[in-house]
Amino acid sequence: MYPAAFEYLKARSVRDAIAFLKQHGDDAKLLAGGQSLVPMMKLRVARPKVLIDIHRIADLNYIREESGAIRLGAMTRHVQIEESSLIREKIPMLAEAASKIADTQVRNRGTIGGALVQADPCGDYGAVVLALNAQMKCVGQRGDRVIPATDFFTFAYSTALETDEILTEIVMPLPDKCSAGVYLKLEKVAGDFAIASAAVQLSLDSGGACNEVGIGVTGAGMVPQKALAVESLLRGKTMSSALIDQAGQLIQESAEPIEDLRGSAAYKKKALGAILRRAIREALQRADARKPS
Amino acid sequence: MIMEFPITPPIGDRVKRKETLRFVTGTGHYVDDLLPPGTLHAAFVRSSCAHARIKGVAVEAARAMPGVHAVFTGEDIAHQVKPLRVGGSSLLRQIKLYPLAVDKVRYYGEPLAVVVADNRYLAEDAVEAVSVDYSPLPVVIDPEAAMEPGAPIVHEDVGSNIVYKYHFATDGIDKVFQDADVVVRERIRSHRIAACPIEPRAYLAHYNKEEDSLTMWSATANPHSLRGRIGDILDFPEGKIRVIAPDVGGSFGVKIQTYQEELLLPYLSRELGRPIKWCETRVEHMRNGRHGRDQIHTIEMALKKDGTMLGIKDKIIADMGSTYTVDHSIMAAALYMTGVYQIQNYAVDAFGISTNKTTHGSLRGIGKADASYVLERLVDIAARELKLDPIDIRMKNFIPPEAFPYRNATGALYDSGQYQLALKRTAAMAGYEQRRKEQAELRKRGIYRGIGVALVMEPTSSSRIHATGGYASCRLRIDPSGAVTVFSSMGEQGQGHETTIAQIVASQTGIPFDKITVIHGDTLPTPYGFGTGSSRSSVVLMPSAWVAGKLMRDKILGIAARQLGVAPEKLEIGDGKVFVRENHQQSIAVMEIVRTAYGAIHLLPENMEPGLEVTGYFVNPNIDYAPDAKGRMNTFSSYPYAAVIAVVDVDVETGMIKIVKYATVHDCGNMINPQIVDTQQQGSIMQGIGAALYEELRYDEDGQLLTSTFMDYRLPSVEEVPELALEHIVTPNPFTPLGAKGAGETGMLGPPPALCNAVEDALSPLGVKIRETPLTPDRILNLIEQAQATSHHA
Repeated sequence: MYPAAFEYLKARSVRDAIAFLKQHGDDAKLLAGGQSLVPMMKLRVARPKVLIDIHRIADLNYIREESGAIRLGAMTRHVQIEESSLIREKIPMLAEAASKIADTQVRNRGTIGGALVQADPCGDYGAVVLALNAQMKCVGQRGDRVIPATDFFTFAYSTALETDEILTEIVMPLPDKCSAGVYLKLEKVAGDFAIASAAVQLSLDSGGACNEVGIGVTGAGMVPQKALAVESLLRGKTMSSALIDQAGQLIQESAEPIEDLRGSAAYKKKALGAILRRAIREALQRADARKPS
Repeated sequence: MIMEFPITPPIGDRVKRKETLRFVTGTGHYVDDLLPPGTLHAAFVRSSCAHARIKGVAVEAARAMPGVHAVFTGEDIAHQVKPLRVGGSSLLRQIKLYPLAVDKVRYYGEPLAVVVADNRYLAEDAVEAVSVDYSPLPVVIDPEAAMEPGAPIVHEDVGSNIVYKYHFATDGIDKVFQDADVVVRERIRSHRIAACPIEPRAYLAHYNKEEDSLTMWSATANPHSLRGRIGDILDFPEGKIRVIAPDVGGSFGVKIQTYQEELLLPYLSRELGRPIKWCETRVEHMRNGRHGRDQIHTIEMALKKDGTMLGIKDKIIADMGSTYTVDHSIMAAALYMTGVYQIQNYAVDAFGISTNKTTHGSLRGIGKADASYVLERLVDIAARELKLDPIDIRMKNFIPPEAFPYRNATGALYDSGQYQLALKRTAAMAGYEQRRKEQAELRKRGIYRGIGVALVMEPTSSSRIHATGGYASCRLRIDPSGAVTVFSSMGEQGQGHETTIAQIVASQTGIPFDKITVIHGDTLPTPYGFGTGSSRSSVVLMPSAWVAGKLMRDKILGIAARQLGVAPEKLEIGDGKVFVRENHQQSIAVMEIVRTAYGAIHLLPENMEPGLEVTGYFVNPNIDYAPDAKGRMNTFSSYPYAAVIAVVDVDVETGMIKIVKYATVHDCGNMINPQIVDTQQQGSIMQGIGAALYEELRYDEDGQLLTSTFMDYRLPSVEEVPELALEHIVTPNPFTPLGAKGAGETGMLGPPPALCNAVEDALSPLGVKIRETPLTPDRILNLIEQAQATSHHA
């Protein structure tokens, strides 16, 4: 577990980091919390010539509520998200997702931006940003741009970011007051990567029909997916066991999971169906308590 | 010989461990903390093929890399060192094994060349510059396939992959099977796992040219044996070698063996005249550390209709991997397949098979875990067949307490046990009757709850000629300053010897526990002894401390008796004094006796040697070193056991298993320190839960290990610890002075059978049969589907 030689550069600002990226191009990798990159380097699977350390850029570490959204700096650590009273109150599913990442040591170091850009097919945040329709703010040489979560994940371990761009902020639109969300994860042992996971945010109208709904899942393929077909199935309908089973069936049919040591594709499809059904039921229960009378 | 000795405090007290403070404050001292001036670092070129001829190894580019001092290939050193002394019994076909592969590689990751450089990073860079020309050979991974004619041969000089054969049968075994009402038959496999100590292997060799001597720091559990092996392969006088095992971060059996890398480092240090260090990475540990389990049993049991067990026949196929050096895993299974039951009719054919997998070796519960797993599964299968309760069938067949010492069919002599009592108490702790009623209720609500029963037995303190010797020793010294030091022949890797040895010596001599220091793991000051394995410390090492304490006590009392003019029998030691039992005023300070022993020897009793230094030996009781005419022998000294009842819920939608309760009653005889026994049990049980539910070493068909990091080989963490109810009953081993039986391994044996039995019980309405482990969620869901498909067809 000894990485190949590399040059270490410490960026003091986003501008610094972009300048370094411009200078070193494809030879460089950004170092955030290092909880995925450093193990890959130690296995010599990743061998960047230059490491640009951005995880101490103070401007990138914040959680705040602003104009109807929660904004998180990309270098905000999992532990800060897990423990943030603001997040727990406004977007509990995000705190739940953060709390299920790996172990305490990893959560103390790892960052939300790092995890999203790592784009592990079994990562925890992907489902959440898709369920909530988050916006990814990026800064590059040619200026700023915003990538919607739905366009962000392009393939396993790949995102829509250009090589000279940095993800700086994740903007999560605040869910409706009577909406409730949940993140459920099926894992072999606590802290493992997900076999499958589901993030479900929904609200009910006074009649008990599903009003707004956002669903993201992992374990359905190479990238986390927004379950659009399931969202349309549920939207506007009165919830029932049969409908929830149908939702599970729908996700199962469309999923194309990757077979690995955590299970065969056939197994993972069933696991995903089960975890989605449970997440919908749990979200319903939570939403029911908030439903307008 | 039945021993009867008084056990007095602090033996049996929950004394705080002496060693804990330095570990929890991060001030322990491990091999990787050492860095003598001038140290160079080794890194290994490892085979990327599971089976191939080495056509050539190009090292020139690596030699030219910055900071590189030397590169050696297997060919370079084959003529410079002798092959490793391979262990094992006379039944094991011997192979020649060198520190680096010569001509041929036999498993993925086998070391075939080494780079020595200024630091490990440069060494690893140079490893990448070594290019190996392989001529790939067909790979054999499955042990049953390896037995077929025409299978690729792992060791050509042996000529067959069947490298070990053992047959044993009692007279009349066939008749028992002919006459039986019922015969149950099953093929059960124990899967391959890794030990995963927190500290992987680590070595530092320092040859001193001026003194022509060698110091080897090793994270070993077997320092004295290692010293002999280094002397052997280097043809170097053993007396000039010192092996030091500093703090060692766990072994679980894996560090009791000697490894290729471990023997190469002293050679490199002697060649290069510099200290050489190598610390194993986790990936290397998964690929190269000895693996455990991996036996296939095709086993049958003959029974009467009422559940009386009549006989067992077993065929064992043990996958020993490639560069095998030992065979005791097979014997430890083959001799104990009748377990805790009164079964005197038994036959076994056992085969040790060489394959292109990592070498198999010791791992907590070696062989015995396979045996108890297979047997306790078979007992449940028989119970289901005969529609008997799993507790009832066991109770009916247990060896009763009055039958001890009990000789089993293979000649093993069980010291003591109260199996009925242990299981009865466990059933009470688990609320067995109530749980059975609950279970029926829960099933109506679609909750699949299962209850699994097992009684596992763990033979401990094995003795084999030249391998584990059958004895241990402690030297006890009170120096002229009054400091009390015990030199232990066995090292420790977390067992708490510094505490338990001090408890024993304190109990024997009256010297306060806090004043006793225990030195271990260093071949220079400590007396000779074999490694810390087979749970033997409390069976054979602790009694040797007890003997040393007794010798010292006798000496102190002898000196005091002469000075006080009283018979030694009338004296007691306490409060730093020796005093007359009937008259406490008549006394002499222990320090006065120390001064006498060293400085005023004219006051010593006649014929007494000066000084205060004694050595205590203890010999494992009841050991046979050769079989009798019928092939029977006893090779283990003690037989601790545990009854287990596990309650689980199986999620039939996801295949996940939740342990609702794990209740166990454990009997390791007298406990020197119950606190240490409890923590041993907790850790051991968790390691067993890991083996049953999560951990598995998996190879692809090309022989590549797929699980070489903790991302793919998942260990349970504190979050997986179930509700654990742990109690003890004490049935002392009557053949050892402390009555202790060994506590290191039994815990790990319980979870695989108990959890499999529980899960099969939970899913019995669906007709699920479990024959493979670990019980991963995908496997469970597949089994449910298969069972449903079968029942639809029926």
